Amino acid sequence: MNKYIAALFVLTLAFTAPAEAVDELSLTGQAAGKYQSRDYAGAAVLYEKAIEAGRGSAALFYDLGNAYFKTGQKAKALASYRRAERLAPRDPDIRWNIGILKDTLPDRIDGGSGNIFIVKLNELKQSYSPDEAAWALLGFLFALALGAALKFASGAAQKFSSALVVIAVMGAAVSGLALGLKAADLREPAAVILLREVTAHYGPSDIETKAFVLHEGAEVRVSDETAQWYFIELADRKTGWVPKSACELV
Amino acid sequence: MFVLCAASAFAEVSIETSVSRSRLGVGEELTLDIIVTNAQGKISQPTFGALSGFSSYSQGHSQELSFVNGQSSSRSIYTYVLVANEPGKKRLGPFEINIAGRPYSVPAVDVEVTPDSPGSGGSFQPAAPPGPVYAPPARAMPSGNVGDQDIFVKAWLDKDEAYVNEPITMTYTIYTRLSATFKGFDKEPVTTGFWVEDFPPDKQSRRTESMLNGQRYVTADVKKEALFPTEAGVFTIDPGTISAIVELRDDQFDSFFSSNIFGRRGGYAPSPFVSQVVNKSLPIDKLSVVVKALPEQGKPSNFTGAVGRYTIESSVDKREVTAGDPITLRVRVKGQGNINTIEPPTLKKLDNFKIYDSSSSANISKDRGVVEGEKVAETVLVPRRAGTFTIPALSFSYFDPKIGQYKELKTSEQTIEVHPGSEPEDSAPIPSPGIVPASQEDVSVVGHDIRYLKPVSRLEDISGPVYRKPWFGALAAGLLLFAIALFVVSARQNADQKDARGSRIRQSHSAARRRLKTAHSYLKKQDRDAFYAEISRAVYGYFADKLGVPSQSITTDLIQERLSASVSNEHLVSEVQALMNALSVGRFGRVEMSAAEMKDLYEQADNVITHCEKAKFQ
Repeated sequence: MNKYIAALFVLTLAFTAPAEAVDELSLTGQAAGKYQSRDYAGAAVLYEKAIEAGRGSAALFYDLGNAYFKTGQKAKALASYRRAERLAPRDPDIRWNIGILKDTLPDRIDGGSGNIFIVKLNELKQSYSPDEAAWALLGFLFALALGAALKFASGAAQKFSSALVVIAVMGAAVSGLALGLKAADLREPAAVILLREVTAHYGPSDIETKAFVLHEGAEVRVSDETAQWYFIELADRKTGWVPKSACELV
Repeated sequence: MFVLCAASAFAEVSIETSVSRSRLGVGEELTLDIIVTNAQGKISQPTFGALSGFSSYSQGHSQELSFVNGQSSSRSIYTYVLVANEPGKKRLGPFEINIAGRPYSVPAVDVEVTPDSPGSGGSFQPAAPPGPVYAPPARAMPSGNVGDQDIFVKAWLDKDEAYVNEPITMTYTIYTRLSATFKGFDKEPVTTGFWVEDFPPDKQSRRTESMLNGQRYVTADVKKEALFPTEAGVFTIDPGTISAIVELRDDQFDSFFSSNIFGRRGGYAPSPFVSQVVNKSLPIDKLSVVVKALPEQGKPSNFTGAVGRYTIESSVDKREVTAGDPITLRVRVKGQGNINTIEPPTLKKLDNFKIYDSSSSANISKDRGVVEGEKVAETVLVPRRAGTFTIPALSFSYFDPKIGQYKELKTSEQTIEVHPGSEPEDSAPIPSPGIVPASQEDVSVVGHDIRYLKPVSRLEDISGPVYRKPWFGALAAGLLLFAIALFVVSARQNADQKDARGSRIRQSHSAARRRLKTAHSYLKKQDRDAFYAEISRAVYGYFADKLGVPSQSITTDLIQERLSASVSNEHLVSEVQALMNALSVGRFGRVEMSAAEMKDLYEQADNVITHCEKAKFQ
């Protein structure tokens, strides 16, 4: 049995071990230099290049957001900050900058649920990332397997096994629920309006009745799409179709 | 407007009583005129005592002399203002008046006082219009339609050019050849770019007569406003449209006699033949004004926009206090200008004192045709420690538009004597060595911006959340299944262990029966050794299973002990003992046994096992 446990250890480690990308890191260094010399557009280009390689981090998205914000591209900045926030949900700097940015946006979309339970649940959901929940679930499942394996051991290890199993089952249930909530949220991708002003229609065409007007930086959820249009929903449950070119998925 | 007339019997003297209205509400007023015409000699004041249901005020006495067609006539008018106090039908008078020593009776007049203001319905006459009446000289009064030349309003400014925040007075003057009443604005004035202060209406409208284009007009200022420009530029002021009620009469002769040339309020006897009351809108020409910016040259650094002429003074409510007791510092800025917008100087920071936010109050007066007043800022100071301290002079600067220069004022310094308080002082006394704590203030945010870059030290896969990767589901499911499988296996093992003894007990009887059956077959074959061995195995095995011990450790004593402990059946105990003895004899004694003895032994063993089962031996 110990053989299996060892194998599992190796398996988990194999998935978490990071591989450094030195080239991209040097790009971000150059970008930071440009940012410091107030060449924000140049910095944004370099940060984008670093991200295009397929790897990134909360800090990188945050820096890109800063560069966009300084060049006045609030929507792109917000999208970038949101990506950073997804990777590092409790980072105070990201939250601060999002707050500053949102203060400058013209649209006030009030999701306003007065229910304290829902408010607290949403706050809680904001405080962890889906990856954190996923890794926690894997960890607890692993602990469960370990606890089950320890039942075959003798003496003190066997007594420890029951406690481990109880903790692992509860942990797995909680982290599974957390992951489920997060996954439900992410099933409809978030998007940010890029254009200075865009009119949402009642159908996926310009000739459909106009529903409402959104401005740059407005945050929406995309719940359906056609070839050219997204069906979006606002926090206050207004829905409409906007052209795909008008928004960027986060 | 409602007149009762009674000619006195004597000579040409006639005495009339006239009231301005015959119906009025409680709290409203009417004017009562006693008009004495052609009286010769001295006229004494009418005996005008208290009237029940009215408060009365004398408005004075006037005299008129006129010559018409070579005949002279004189009129003496005594005017009273009566305020109705209670409802009901009232008779005013009769009064008495003494002319040249002779008493004359003054006719009474009836009025009706309604509980509240009389409505327009039911009354044949229009309600008395509000506001002052500008009565023109009767001679000039035309009849027929009201022309634009008969009545018009002009608005004028006292200056065409002003500095920002310098008051400009806008006056509305009515020119009329008719009897007219100012009602209000049909269209409100548009004064964008100005702070407006209304002057209260003149109590005694100055009325003058003037000649304009060969016509005689009564003119009066009906409204005055002070305009404070808020920014520089050329502005057009639309003074709006004024609405007036104009009274037209067609009986010129009557108006000729009953009117008086003084334009006294309600003083002339109105004609009963009023033919028309016309509402007239009087548009006013637009005005333009140039607002100059304040000069940059010589602008003091502490200038906050005050324009006008001011004085400043400061005072403290206490000059001697104990440490910790509050002192109020008052800074009073007084003068002419837009008092509402000036900011008196306040103390910002002072060593040895705690300063609390100041409050300010303004007191504005507009009675003298200018906007003036004072603004007082109060600051509460709490001395931190004992000593003699000086509150520094505060400076205030303003722009004087008359001379076109900035002026700076300073308050006097205030010296405060602070005695040591009973409570411990805020900070340590000076001579004590060590650390003196700083006086602390809240950190205030002076600007808002995003936070700076973060160093990027590590990059990770960002192609999507971990839970969407295919391996994640496989790994999670694998771990879960693996754990479940381990549980199943371990649970089964556990169950087996727990079950081993129970099944042994459960199966003890059937095992023994099986062996007895085998033994019986050996009995038939007369295979003695095999028979004994099988019988022994059956009995010993049976008891070993029942007691949960290996069959080697079964002894007669052990069985007896457990048997007597669990079943109180002496007969069964002796039976078992007999069987055991027989078995040991049969096995070890090597005695030749007959078939009958073997059968006996078999039956004995069978009985014991049956009885043990019946007795539920455990």
